[in-house]
Amino acid sequence: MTTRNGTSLNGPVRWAGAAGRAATGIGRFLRRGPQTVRGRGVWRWAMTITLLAPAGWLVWQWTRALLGLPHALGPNPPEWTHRFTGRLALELLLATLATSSLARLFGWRGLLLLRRRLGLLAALYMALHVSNYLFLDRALDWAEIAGDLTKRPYIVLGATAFVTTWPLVLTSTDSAIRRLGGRRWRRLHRLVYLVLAAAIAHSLWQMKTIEPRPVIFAVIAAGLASERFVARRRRKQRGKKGPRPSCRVS
Amino acid sequence: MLIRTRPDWWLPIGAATPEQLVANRRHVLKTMGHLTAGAAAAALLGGPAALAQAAPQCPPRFHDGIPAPRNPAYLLPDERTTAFDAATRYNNYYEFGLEKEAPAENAQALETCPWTIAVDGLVERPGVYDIDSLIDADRLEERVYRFRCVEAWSMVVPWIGVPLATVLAKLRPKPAARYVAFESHLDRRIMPGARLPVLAWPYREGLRLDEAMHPLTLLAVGMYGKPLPKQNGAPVRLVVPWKYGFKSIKAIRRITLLSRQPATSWNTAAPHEYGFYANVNPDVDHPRWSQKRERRLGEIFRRPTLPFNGYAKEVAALYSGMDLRRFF
Repeated sequence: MTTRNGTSLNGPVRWAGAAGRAATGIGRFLRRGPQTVRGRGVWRWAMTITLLAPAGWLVWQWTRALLGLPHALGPNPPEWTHRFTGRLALELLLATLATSSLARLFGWRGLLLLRRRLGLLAALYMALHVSNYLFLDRALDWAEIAGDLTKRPYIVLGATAFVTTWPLVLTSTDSAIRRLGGRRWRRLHRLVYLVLAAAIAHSLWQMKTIEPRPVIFAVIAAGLASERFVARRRRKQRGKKGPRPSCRVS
Repeated sequence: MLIRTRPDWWLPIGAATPEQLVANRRHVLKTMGHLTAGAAAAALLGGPAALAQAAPQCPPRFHDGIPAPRNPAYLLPDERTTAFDAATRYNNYYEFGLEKEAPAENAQALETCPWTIAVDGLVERPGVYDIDSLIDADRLEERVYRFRCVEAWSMVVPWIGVPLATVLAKLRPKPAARYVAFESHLDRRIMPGARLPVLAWPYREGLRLDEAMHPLTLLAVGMYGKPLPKQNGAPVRLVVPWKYGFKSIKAIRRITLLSRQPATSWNTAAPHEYGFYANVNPDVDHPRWSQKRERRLGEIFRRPTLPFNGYAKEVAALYSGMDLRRFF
């Protein structure tokens, strides 16, 4: 294909075709869900690697910083790391909850493939956030840490959110789901709402003045929570227990 | 796709003459290029209008570096000066964004020349002064100060400026004056943070008159041998080294002498967290974090915070008898 003055459009046309095919593939992945998507392992591994990359980069930069080499963490590395990991943890937590909401609202059941991984990654970044606080910001000064836990409510909220992820992480495996059974597992994992509430309250309370990002996260969290509330009410009104996003996904 | 063709008379907003200059154009035209010996003598002996007769020069002097002798009384030989990169890329300047990295990016839009400072209140010589007539270039000196933010990070910066006392002496405060209030520049067109109700704009700060007249208090126009970068408060800022950094107001536009304690931005926004005095005090915690330890920029682990940021010998007497927990 060429334009009137002879410029070839082959390149752009091929790119448009490839983009269209990719969009169709993504759409099929979203709609068909776990059972019918071929090559689903690739998607999940790609996402896992992409979301683990920031953590790996952080570990590498911190190694350089602690060895006295030039690094990319800025003049105040613990503060920067705290902002970075906290933001990512909250974003991943919201993404985890968004998978089920989007699956219910738009039928994108393929997203449920990603839910467990997103949740575990959120817990990982929470662990990095807390580790940064304990080891690098406070340098294991237990007197200061005890002072923080008794005098600063927003730190208590953050600790609550972090500790509440432990039972969820430990029971995230397939064997745990099997052992607990669907109903008990679902009930236990409602703790994620406590994690969400504590994490959002923690991020709002640490604001020095009105900052846009924590407020936006709070609004999104409220939206996700209300979506679930409405869906639960509708299920109860229908009088039966389904269809609901399956818990046996990875 | 909409293709817009611009008319011949179109000019970008960046080419607009600064509003200050247009508002003061008659004054500017009158004083431009009239620096003769006679006019200088008249300025020394005359009233406020004559004092203001210095030619505003743009681009500003000292473009390549400020020659200013080091004041040996204000060196910190045992402390390492913070790297220039750290001091200029990690800033709190909420008018230009809430992130630490935002001011370095966004503040470059600030036009710092010509710059005038309005002086009013209980002074014998109120008026609108060009910055060059307020700050004597011959009296500039370099001082190395510690700088401690209320967020518990700190740095060591070689500032260039004149003691605020010399400037106030020129303005002749009246006997009734007991406080000095400062106001920062505000321009919502170039300040994305100022469009948010983060603080009550313009940024306001204030000092007690004895704090303002203290030899340590500096009116700074440069750092690291060069004019202040815009994110650090160009063209002129306050440096009060024994107080938390938010007292060291940037981009000063107005100085007012008052008899009553003025309202200050952070104290107005959160009165139980930020006081008027804001003296560095490891024994008085911020409600949400401890002030016992601070992180020096460029280091990883914290160091203990010193009372009055290490200037206790020079300034503790100003507060003798005051309950520093109540007047924090």
